[in-house]
Amino acid sequence: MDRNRHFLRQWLPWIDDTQTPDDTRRHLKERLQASIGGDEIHLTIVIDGAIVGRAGLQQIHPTNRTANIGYWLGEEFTGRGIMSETVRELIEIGRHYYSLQKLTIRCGTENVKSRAVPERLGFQHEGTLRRNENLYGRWIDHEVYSLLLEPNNSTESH
Amino acid sequence: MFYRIVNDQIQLHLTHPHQTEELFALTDRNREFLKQWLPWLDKVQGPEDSRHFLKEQLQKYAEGTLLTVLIYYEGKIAGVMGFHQIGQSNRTAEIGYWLGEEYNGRGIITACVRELIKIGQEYLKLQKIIIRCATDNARSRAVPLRLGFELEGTFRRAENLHGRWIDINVFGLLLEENSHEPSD
Repeated sequence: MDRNRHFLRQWLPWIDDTQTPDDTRRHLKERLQASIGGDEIHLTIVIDGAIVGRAGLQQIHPTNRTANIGYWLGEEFTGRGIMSETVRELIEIGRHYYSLQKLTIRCGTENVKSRAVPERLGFQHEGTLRRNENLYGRWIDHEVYSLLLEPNNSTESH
Repeated sequence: MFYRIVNDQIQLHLTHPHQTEELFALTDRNREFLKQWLPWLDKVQGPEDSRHFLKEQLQKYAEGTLLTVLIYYEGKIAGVMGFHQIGQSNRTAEIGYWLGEEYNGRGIITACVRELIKIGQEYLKLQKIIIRCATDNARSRAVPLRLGFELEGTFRRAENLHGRWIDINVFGLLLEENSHEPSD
């Protein structure tokens, strides 16, 4: 993470809050705690024994059966299809373990690499949220993508 | 209690436990009407639930996370509205509203939302206001459209409302010029 500080700071808001290994330790414990609560699941992506990034399901909503997918990779691991494969797996986890009916991915409008993931995996573009986030003093628009996991015409919840 | 005058007929009051009986009566009488588009009606079974709501909203107002007000029309409680989820870092808040059926069609919500936009601008220093409506809720959708909000997206099957799947339109109003300049 520290090595990719500059790269990740382009699109992630929490980089400046992560100054030491202790911050990372606290983050990992908090996320694991939240996973126990069922609100989210955060996973570390490991390739050949080395950590390359993180990905997970956030805001898992039991009534709406929706969740948001978030992810990041170290710069040296981008461009190899790692994230598409990871997200494909997260979709299966969302479907089978959390019984989700919909998954959402939000990307900065100018974050081309991130947007390629939902576009490649058949997500549909639902909208553009203007000035949705202030990232280190810069206003960011977000593109919202979604994938419906059940037939669109089923009106009943079960 | 503390209130803001919208016009001769309408005032916006901060929530307070003394409004319990009247708010519960309005809610209870409009239960079926409101259930069409709101998810929480089954959680309001008695006046105690309304009292809890009024206190909780005032508490959260004190904490700066939201602003909920009661809409008074000619001296009577007609509905509830406010800013949910006031985001500090993105200076964005979402407006939600409901009116008892008997108060619909009089332009009350449009006048009140216009007033809330001013409050958001002047006191909360917001840069953006969001309104989310079910795509099928024509009356609710008319409000942001009338006030110059832009449609930013349609979230499919975004909510399960009493067993029915709802698509949601997201409308946004930007309050600052030069929308892509740095914030400071």
